[in-house]
Amino acid sequence: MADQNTSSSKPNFYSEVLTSFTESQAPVKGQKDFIPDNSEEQKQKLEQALNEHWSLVSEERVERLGSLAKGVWIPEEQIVELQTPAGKFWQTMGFSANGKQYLLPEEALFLMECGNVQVFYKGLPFSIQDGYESFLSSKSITFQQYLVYGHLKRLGMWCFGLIPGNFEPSAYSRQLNLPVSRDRDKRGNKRKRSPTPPSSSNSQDQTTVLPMEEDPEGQSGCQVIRRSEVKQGSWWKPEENSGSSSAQDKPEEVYMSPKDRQREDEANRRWNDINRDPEVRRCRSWSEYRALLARRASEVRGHPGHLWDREVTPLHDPRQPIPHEELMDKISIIKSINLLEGASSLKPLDNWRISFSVFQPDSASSFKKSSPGRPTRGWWCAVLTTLSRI
Amino acid sequence: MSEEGAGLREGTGLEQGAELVWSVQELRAVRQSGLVGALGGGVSAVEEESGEGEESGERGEESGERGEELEPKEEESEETQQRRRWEEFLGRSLEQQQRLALEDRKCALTSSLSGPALASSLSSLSSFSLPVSSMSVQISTCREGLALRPISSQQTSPKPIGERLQCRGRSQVFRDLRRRGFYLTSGGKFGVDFLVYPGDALRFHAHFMALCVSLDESLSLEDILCWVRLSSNVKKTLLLCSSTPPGGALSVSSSAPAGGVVYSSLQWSNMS
Repeated sequence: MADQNTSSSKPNFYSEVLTSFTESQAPVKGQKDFIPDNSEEQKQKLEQALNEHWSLVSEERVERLGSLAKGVWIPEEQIVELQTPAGKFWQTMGFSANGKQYLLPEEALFLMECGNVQVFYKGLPFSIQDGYESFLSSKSITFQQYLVYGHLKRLGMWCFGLIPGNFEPSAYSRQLNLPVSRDRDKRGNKRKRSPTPPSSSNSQDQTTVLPMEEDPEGQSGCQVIRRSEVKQGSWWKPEENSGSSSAQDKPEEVYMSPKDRQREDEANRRWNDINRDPEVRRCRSWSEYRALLARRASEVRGHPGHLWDREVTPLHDPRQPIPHEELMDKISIIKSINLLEGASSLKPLDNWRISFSVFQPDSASSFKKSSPGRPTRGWWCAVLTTLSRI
Repeated sequence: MSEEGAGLREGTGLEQGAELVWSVQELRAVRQSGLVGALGGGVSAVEEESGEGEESGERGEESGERGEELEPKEEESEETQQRRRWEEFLGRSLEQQQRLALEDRKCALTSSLSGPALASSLSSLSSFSLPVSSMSVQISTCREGLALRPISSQQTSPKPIGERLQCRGRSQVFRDLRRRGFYLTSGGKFGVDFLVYPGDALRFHAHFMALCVSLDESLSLEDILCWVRLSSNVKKTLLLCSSTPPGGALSVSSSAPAGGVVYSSLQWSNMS
């Protein structure tokens, strides 16, 4: 009916506008036709296509009752509680709480469409229409968000909404092999604890002196400081449970017998002949020498004047013990942001808000539903929250 | 009667700006009146199919046992009645399936065996019963006789949705193009408002990409270039559509009809 009107009343319309396409380019071949020409062949093909369409659309969803997981819709909490054990989909969908299995509304709706779950409400089964009307709302997930979710799921992706409590270390902190401090329960990091330096000294402690401490310039003060820094534990892993807090505060004293001390002093004296020092040789007057001494003294103290006595001071005093993560935060100019954590607190930018994190299906990886971690390729799916031109 | 709402019951299913059609009969009626829409959601039991768009029409055909009309009664007894009906239906369905399964097995045995073996197998069949877990159940797409009242009722507004969302005379353009006999579908794939087909979308390619702009709206050249280049790549003509206010004075051109729609088509040509 519509075709006849078009072709009879406006014969010039197509020819004016469309000749450039039809003449300059090869005619479109394939399943579809270009212009309706009222031929029987076209009508037949259209009818055939439409019949195929209706038969496809009117197909039923019939499943074995045993393969359907039974769920109950709880509108107050906007979730579906499973009453029979979940099937294979449980690997990537759903969550447990209070010993029961639950599904989010979009997951439940998707599984209903796939024929894995049958949702009941007040003893009666939901139809797909009911599901769409009940599960999709502004409280849970919008219709358009669900369309995107369903599309991605059908492509085989694993989709999750933003999980606020899912902390993942940044790339840099992973590089340094820092343990994730906040995820205490799940990760169960076995941190090496350095042995607490015994308060009572014995000769064995002395033998742990490292070569670097014996530098010619070294004065006893330097040595002690460096030793304490090493003894703080492994350099890379912050000592959260270190028992020896006292060791971090003040330099550790090494006990030496008087004879050993004398021997060491003599050895140092031989090495530390002041006139051998090239810097001392460079001093041309007593004032310069005094300035050199003052500089060295401040360096020994760990508080060089040229750094600390001016307007611009270093960001952190190396003598102050600080966990490595905090140190990184302190010295970083660009703050590293955990996108998953930060995204949920980000203000929506021009109606764009991240709705899902999408993972490629990867059975080889140690994927855990409860802590999926970062999306494998950093995929996040933003869905316009305002309605667009559809 | 406007074609947009032709023949549809009120409250068919309004999901945030998209009208959903659920039953195949309604879908056919809508298609007859020239509205194509788009399938949404998934096809049954085929997880890899992807859907798109606003309207979905799927319905399972049943043997008619569930197509019962509900009479309005008190809410409490309605629910218990429905539950009773559902349980009765399940019981009937189980009996029917059991009967069919039994016959099926008899046929299979008869065709494969013969003589005393057949007799003994047939006699053992008498104790056959279909376990409940093997029963087939349908997850119906369309809400039918077991309808419960929707949890949240949507209020229908007299103004068409397209008009409410996009105040650029979109519904007027739609009506005009439909009047001229074109089939229209969503232009979301190309970032435009509509795709204009000369006939049913199943059989023909779209000729135009319709973009609704208001007459006094200024378009930047970059935007126009984007659209026109895109349209030439997909072998369609860009159509800028502007609805004119009814009865108002026009400053653009005297030939434009008041209360009608002005069309401008753009094509891209190489000058080499």
